[in-house]
Parts: sequence; C-alpha cells; structure tokens
Amino acid sequence: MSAYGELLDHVNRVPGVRGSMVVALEDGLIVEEDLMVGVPGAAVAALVASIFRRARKSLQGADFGDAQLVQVEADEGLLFAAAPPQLGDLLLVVVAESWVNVGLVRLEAARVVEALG
Amino acid sequence: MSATPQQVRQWSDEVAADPGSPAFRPLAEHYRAAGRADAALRLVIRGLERHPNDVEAHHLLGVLYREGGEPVKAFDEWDIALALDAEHFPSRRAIGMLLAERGEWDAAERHLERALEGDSFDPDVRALLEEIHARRREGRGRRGSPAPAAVVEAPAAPSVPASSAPGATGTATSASASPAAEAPSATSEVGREFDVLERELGTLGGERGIIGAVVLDAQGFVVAGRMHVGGRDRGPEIAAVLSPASTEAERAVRHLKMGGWKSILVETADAVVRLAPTPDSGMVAVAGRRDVPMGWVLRVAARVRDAAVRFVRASGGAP
Repeated sequence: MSAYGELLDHVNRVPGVRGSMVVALEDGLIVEEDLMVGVPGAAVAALVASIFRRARKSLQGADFGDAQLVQVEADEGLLFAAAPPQLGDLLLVVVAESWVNVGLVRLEAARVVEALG
Repeated sequence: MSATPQQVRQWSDEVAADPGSPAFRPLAEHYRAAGRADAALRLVIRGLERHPNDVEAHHLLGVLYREGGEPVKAFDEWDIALALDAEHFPSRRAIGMLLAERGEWDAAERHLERALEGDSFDPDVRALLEEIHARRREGRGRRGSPAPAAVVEAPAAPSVPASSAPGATGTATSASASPAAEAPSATSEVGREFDVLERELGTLGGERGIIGAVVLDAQGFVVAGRMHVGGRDRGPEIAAVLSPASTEAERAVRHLKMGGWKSILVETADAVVRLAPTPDSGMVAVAGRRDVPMGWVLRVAARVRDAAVRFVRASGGAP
C-alpha cells in the first residue's frame, strides 16, 4: 500500500467517515482515494479543491495567512479539506457523516500527516 | 455533419470491445442526434465512470439532462465541466442560458459575458445579454422615478452598493404598490432594523478574540458590519472572493446527497473564518483569532447569524 493509501486507511477508521481522498489542489484531480461505494469522488474532489483555492485566495488577500483547513458542514454530512505542508500541493479530503467526531477526524488526520513528513 | 454508417459501426465495435474506449462520446453524440437519448445517456454515464475528468462528456451529459427535462442535473454536469476546465465555453454558455431562464440575471450575465470570449458573434448569447441589459435599464428607471424621499431616509452605510442597500428593494416594491406617503415609514422601519443589526454586529465584533463580523447579500456585497485587519476593513474583499464558495459548497454536498450546506469554516495559522447562510440567500462571515478557543468563535458566529436572520425577517427579505 502506498504512503497515501495508508494515510487514508487510518483516517477511514474513524467511525462516521465515508471515505477520504488525496487531491491535487491546483486541478482538483484525485491522486489516491479510498471511498465507500456511491461516493462521487471525482465531482467532489473538483468542487472541494475549487472551494479551497477560493478560500486560500480570499484569506491571503485579507492578510489572514494561508488557509490550512476548510470544513463544509451540511444537514447530513461533513466535508473536510486539509492542506498540511507535508502534502505539498495536495489536499487531504474527508467525507463524513454529520454525527462524526470532528475533533477525532482532525486529530487522526494530523497524526498520520505528521508521520508522513 | 452526421456520422457515416462505417464510423458508427467502428465506434460501436470499439465500445463493445472496451467500454472504456473514448469512442463512447462520438457514439453518444450520434445516438443523441438520431433521437435515441436514452441510449446516449447510458453510454455517457458509463463512459464517465471510466473517464470522470472528460470535460466534453460532462458537457454532453448536461445537454442530455437538459433535453430530458432535468435542469438541476444539467446544471451540475456543466458546473463540473467548468470546475475541470474554466475555459469550457459551451458549458459556460449553457449555464448562462439556464440561469437566464430561472431569472437569475446577474449570474446569467456573468456566465454569458465569459461565453462570448469563446465566440464573440454568438447571436443567441448576444441577444440574451441585450435582453438582460434592457431589463436592468428598465428596472433602474422604475426604481429611480417614484418616491425619491424614501431613498433619502435609508440609513447611511458606506460599504453598501445602491442595489443591495437595506431598503432599496423594499423601497422599489412599496413605491410601485402603495401610495407614496406610506413609503417613508416602511423604509424607516427597515432603517431601524438596520440600526439594530449594526449595533448587534458592533457588540459581537468586539467580543474577545473576534476580528469582525459582516452580513452579506446574495450577490456577495456587504450589507452591514466590518472586519478590520491591519487598520483596514477587509470585509468587502473577503466577501467578494469567498461568497461564491457557498455555491460550490452547495453543489458538493448535493452531489453527496447531504442536504443543504450549513456552514463553511476556513482556518489559517492566525485566524478562523466561518460562513453561514441566511434565509435570503445571503450569508454571514465571522472571523476570529486562533488564540481563542474555536468553540468560542463558533458560538459568537451563531449569534451573529441569529442577528442577521432577525434583520432579514424584519425587513421582509425572507419568510
């Protein structure tokens, strides 16, 4: 299993996570994915990367610094996109149920990303 | 130009031998032209499973959905095509046309003007843009002539453009529907609600660790509040760039069948910004420093949203 595959595998063990992907920030293309059946990875990857680029541009423009994490909360689920320095120009995208323990997902993602670096 | 029987046979053979063959697209185009929309739809959906980043296939799927009477799905496919290639003018044009049909003139205009970059002589796009411009002139004329006193009574808000200023829409409606004498009191009511909102935002924006709070309208203009960084109000800049993210968030969660979006949280090393929708398709943005607990920032953000919702409801912006 690739290093990214292991990363996704660890994140996916958190209860409530429906899958995760490593996505190229610039073009929104999937580099590695581990998603439950039925999760439309390509479309979500493209849209989340676009949201992240927009957030980054906006916050840089306002002197708030580089966007590191974007979280979209919906009625029935959550989307995370994190850009840790260890992943370079890649995003870690997580798709989860609304009842997921947000703190745990973030902790697990940070832990494995740190191990990558 | 229609495909020759030999071409169709060749494409069919290629797709039969390998469902992932790129021939699925011309074959689907042929089926569509021949009136076999169902067969075309099946082919494109199957082809996209193998080629999820095929921009032309997403565009074609959008066309098939549109022709099949499913505009929401069509919009999504064209939107994906644009996410993959922002310069895909046919999808840009199609989205512009669809938005115009829905009466979302401002958004339609933006897309159609960009579509013209692909074909500056497109007669349909030019005609539609002229219609949009004419509607805007007509609307401006209606707003401009009656009940000018009501406009004078609107509260001063330097960062609010005329089209989105509190009371601007209400003024136009009340001026055309009721006697002129009633307009000033209706506008004053909105003005009072606006003052209340500004006061509440001022108080909440001054809470511990909060950088600022702004209320935005559906076009991403600041309605009230401010967000000072380095001695400057950054609210309008943040609003202009971040506001369209809500459309993308909405689309992403719709793809995932997660219902509507409730909030977008963006974190940097120094700050956290939270966006949440208001009932009039606008939103609120609250920024806090990272040296205060995240839960505190989110709590203040929720109160800002409550204040914005009260304003929107009181000013007749939403039920």
